[in-house]
Amino acid sequence: MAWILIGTFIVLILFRVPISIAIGTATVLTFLTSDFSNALQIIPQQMLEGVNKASLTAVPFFIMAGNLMNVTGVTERIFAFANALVGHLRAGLAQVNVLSSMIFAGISGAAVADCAGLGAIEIKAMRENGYKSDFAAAITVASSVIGPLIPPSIGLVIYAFLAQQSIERMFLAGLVPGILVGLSLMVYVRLRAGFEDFPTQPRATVKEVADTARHGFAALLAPAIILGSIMFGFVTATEAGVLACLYCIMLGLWYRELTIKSFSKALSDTAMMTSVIMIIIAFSIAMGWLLAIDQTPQKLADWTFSLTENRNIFLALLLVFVILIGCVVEGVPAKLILVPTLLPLIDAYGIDRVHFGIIMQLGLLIGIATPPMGIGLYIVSEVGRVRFEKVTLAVLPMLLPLFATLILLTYVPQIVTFLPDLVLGKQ
Amino acid sequence: ETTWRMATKMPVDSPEGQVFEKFAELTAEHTNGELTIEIYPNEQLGKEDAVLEQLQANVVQIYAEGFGYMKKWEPALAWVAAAFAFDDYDHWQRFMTSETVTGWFDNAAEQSGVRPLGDPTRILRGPFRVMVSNVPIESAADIEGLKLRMHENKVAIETWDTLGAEVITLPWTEVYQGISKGIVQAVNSPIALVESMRFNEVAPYITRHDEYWQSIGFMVNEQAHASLSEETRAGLVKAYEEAGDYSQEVMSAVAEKSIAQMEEAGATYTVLDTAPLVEKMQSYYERKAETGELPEGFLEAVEEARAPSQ
Amino acid sequence: MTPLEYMPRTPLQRILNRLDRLNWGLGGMFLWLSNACLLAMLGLTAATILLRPLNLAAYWMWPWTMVFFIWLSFFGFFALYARLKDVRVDFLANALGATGMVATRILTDVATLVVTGVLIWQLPVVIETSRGVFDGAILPAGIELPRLALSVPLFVSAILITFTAVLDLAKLGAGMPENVTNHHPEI
Ligand code: NA
Ligand code: NA
Repeated sequence: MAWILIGTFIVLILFRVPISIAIGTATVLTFLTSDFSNALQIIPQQMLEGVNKASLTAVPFFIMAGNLMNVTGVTERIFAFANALVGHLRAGLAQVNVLSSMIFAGISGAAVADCAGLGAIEIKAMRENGYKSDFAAAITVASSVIGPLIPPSIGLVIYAFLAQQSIERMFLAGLVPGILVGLSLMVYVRLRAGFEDFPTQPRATVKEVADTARHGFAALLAPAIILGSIMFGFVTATEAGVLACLYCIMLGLWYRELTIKSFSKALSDTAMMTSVIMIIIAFSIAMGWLLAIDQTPQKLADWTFSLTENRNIFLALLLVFVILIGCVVEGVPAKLILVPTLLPLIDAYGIDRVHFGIIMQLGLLIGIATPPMGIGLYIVSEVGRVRFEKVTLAVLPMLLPLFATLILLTYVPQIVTFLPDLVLGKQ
Repeated sequence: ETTWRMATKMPVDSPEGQVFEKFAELTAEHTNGELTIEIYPNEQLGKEDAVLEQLQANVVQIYAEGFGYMKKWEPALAWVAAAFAFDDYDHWQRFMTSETVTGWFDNAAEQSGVRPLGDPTRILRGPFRVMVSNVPIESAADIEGLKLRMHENKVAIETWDTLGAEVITLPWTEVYQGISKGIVQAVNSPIALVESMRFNEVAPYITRHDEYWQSIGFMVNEQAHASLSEETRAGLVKAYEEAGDYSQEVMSAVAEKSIAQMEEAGATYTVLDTAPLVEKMQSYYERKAETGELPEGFLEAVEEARAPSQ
Repeated sequence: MTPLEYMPRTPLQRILNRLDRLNWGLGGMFLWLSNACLLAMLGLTAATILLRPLNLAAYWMWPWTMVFFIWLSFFGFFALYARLKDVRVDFLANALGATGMVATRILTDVATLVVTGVLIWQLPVVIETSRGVFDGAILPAGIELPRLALSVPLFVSAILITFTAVLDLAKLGAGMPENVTNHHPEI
């Protein structure tokens, strides 16, 4: 069954069918050839389930904040400042791209918001500075993986609930791995800059830094305001997204760059981008229902785990398994299906649930940067106006630092657990 | 040989999850393997409305959840867990098996083809309800002005409004952060979920108030049920009854253990005298009956069930 | 080329282009419905933040935010199809030349009809079984929004997408070009 699903989807995508229709057709055909061909009402029903997800309401606002920054000139100010600071490094803007994702991660709980919101800004800036679009889009999607590791994170909230761990503990556990993923990408960029020509810029003068800082300061305040309001204030992630939008609107009015026309463009772009994402999620939830009721993941799990009793080999199999699932199923339904199935095995092998949560989170996240279901790839190809297949190729080598970090986290669990254990005490 | 799909919201290793596992085992045993129950935990198949629709379509055969969700077929069923309307569990149990409530279930079955399996109070949930707060609640008066988290339900909001709390709606998964950030001071919860949600970490006062009584309904597709042989049906009911006994055991053991653990970690556990709350709510229910918002015969059925029946 | 730029030559082409322009306009209308939902979400959430310290935030605000989120997604389905805002991968079709473009045009229309066909086919069952209300989404009359209303934009979009795909097949038959915009990944 899984093969009809994936096969149809890939073929349709390759032959120019729009992604929402491709995933819809794959879902419909899989239903028609399953035991549930007489229960097709499940498809519209599960589509509604898919978009009726409270945690996803943050998505349009983080997209919108990015779009608003674009139409109000805030983006340029941020990048001018960041550029003045580190733009003189080798592949400076690529480093800025990674670093801004790490900062953005303190605002956003979803990778999608990073690709769509911040990504639009980063790719635009990199392209204007002479980077190839596919490289810019690729480093954007690879660095977006940091977002849902560094708190806040929607995925970790869901995992905390499923695995009966505290949200606080999961958030603390995600912080160091998120930073590590960022650092690994920065090291990768630096190494690659060693034998490849990337656009460079002269070091900024003190006056330039001061000038751009003056212009960029208000914009740079946004993450602090938003992060602060989540950490100490009284807002949810969605509300923080709205605050970000309101702040951008205020800045736009202050700079006198926000017009009715530019505002409605930002609005329309946001609505369409949100809709593409949500229709994809709607169909993939319907697909997830079918996989769940067919118990496909369980069958796959049973088979995988009949192979070994060795803990380290098990962990390796687990990684492969989670990554494969992440390639074909969206993160939320993947967790809903996998966590309950795998927990007994995790306990049996003596693996820490917090540790498992983080490696699963990263493993599934890598799926946003891999075909066929790599939502991140589709989004950056959309926001960056880059061909999907070009981004897919360009992102391949960037998966190496991600995999390396994942393997490190898998076999040195202390990296994940020491911070929550230090702050909250051992469990 | 038949296989039934059973959908639940709960994780497999939760106390309720264990009860469902037990039920599946017992069913296999008492039906001599004629009926196999396959459990789909964790809302894998969707949220309440979606699963109830799948139940109607016979894609799913059992849904183990509160009966309140059947209100979309028989609105009166929204009131089976009326807050502070019953003196104790036995009172509620007599009400739930009364002719009035049975009539409501019949109505819902006529609309939907879905009906509860056996005595609807059999499988305990909770097993009782508490308020978890970051300020002590020692009497009904302490509820006055308390910032209390609530889900988006009109009656629940009105209830706690009547009792004097300042109601703030918030999703369940955001309660922990909500309390730690001071958005709310308190939340109502089944005792069984307090520790697993870690509410006691941010709100160390746990007060048993028995807001309402809860059971897990085993809602069954009638058509699937009718197509079983008589023996299998008998075995199924037997498994249900025994799973009920098991749930009482498991739930109270879990509650006791959890309370002890949380007290050890610094929580304070008290039992509230709820008589003043029941009294306060009486006038609310009478008002609701006058405006016709309560189902016909509700207050009468509550009164009739008050004394042990003939 | 959009329907607004196309110059019909035969009477049939003129009729089809008239319909195509109508559909294009309808797509724009749905885009604005989607925008309106987004604005409503923004307004409601902003109001919630501002009114909360004053204890004035109403409990129906959040459920309605959810309703608008659902409608935003579903209204957008037709808008992004008709206005070509979806993601398409066209390197293979380009490599196959004119034949590839025509073949993938037909494939897209057929795949679309399979999806929307199944959705529309299930409409009666959904109407039959969608019961109850969306908790907390109260209407001015005091009742709550019926659950069925959540799916209405999905089905309206599905019907209009079906029309769009059929229209495109008719246009193909009449020798008219496919609608394209420069929105698609180009670089
Ligand atoms: Na984050
Ligand atoms: Na980035």
